[in-house]
Amino acid sequence: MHDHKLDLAVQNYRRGRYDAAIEQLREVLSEDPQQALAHALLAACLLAKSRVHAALHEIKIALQIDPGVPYFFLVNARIEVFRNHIKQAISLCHEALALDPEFCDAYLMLADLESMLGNRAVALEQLQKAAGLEPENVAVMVSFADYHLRCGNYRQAESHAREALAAHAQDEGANIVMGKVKLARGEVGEALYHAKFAIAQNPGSAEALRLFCDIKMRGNVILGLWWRFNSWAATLSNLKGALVLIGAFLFFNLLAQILVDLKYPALASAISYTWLALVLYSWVGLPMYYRALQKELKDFRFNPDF
Amino acid sequence: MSRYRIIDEPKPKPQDYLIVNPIVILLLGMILPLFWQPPLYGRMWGPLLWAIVNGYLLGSPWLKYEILIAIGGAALWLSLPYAALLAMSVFGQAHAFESAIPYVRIANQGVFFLTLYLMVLKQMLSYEIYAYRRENH
Repeated sequence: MHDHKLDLAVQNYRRGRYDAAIEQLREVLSEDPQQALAHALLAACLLAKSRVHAALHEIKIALQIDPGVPYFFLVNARIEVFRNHIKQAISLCHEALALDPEFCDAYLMLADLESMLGNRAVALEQLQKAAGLEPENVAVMVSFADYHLRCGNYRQAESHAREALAAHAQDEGANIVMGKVKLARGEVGEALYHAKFAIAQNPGSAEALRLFCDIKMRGNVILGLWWRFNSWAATLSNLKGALVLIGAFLFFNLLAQILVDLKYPALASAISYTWLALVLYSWVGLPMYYRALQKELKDFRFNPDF
Repeated sequence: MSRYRIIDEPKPKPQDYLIVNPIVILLLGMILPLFWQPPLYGRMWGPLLWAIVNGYLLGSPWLKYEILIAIGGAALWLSLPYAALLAMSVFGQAHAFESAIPYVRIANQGVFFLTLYLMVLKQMLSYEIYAYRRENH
């Protein structure tokens, strides 16, 4: 009986119906508290609901019952990411791979984590390993597209996203990444199409909703410019990003000082005020973006059309 | 049969309320000195110290790296005017140092902002994870 409930919970988890999955898993665990997979799935569902502490508790139980399942290590790694322990998450992925060197999802997660740390070459290496194992896997194609998108290689990102959509046109991740690529290339109409399609697949998808909001932000009169600059800056490494911002600071301030020395104080003041306005704009832009994002998410979730 | 119980999440710690978006530290570090000059070069060490405390509260995995950036940046900030004076003396231009002071000041500010940018950018990932958890909890 509890196998049927477990199957239902897995289906609900995959569809993003975490509350329903949690209730079913609680029923399974009431009947059999030693069901390791149910504990691990419960941990994954709780993590999706941002209940990190409870998720960690559940995955520890799962690993105590059965420490030989690579998937459990992967769930544990995801939890560690949410606890801000990226290096621990990486070592858990390696533990999963030690148990099963052909565990494609572990390579994908490693690629994602290394990319987060800015180690793009290592991330690419992990993605290539995943592609070597499962070249037809849509998740691998999506990860490749996402990787190239983060690096600012829009053409390659689009080619991988197209490949993913050709393999599975209704895949949520493939539609999201294609939407992001289209948005980055300024093709807003197509980006919106993919965002709506992804939301229709999973209305609870935070990534899809965020893409939808980003599309609206891009067209916003006040925030559009701020959004574009930030999107571009996000493709740079930390050091390059910092150097660009410092370059802008030095340009405006040195220009103002040179104009003062050349006896053009009015022009120097104008340059200084322009710089101040840019700083204030970037300051105001961030909370405005988050406020608009929150509003969009609320409106969207309460929209009767969905 | 009792229902399986899921443990509760711990309440946020009081110090969690002190965590701010690292961008706020950066922008305040840029704008506040335009209106108020804190004593004892506070405009320099204040934001750096604040960023370190913020990184500690966030549990930033790069805290040691952030501290090293702060120390390196502060050392460069302190030594830059002397280095500029020394360089001008070597080239026989020491007498022109006074007219170069505004440029040295801008370069010094550039060093300070670069230090703060690097610290803030390192902290952003930790903050985003923290903010996501807080918003969804």
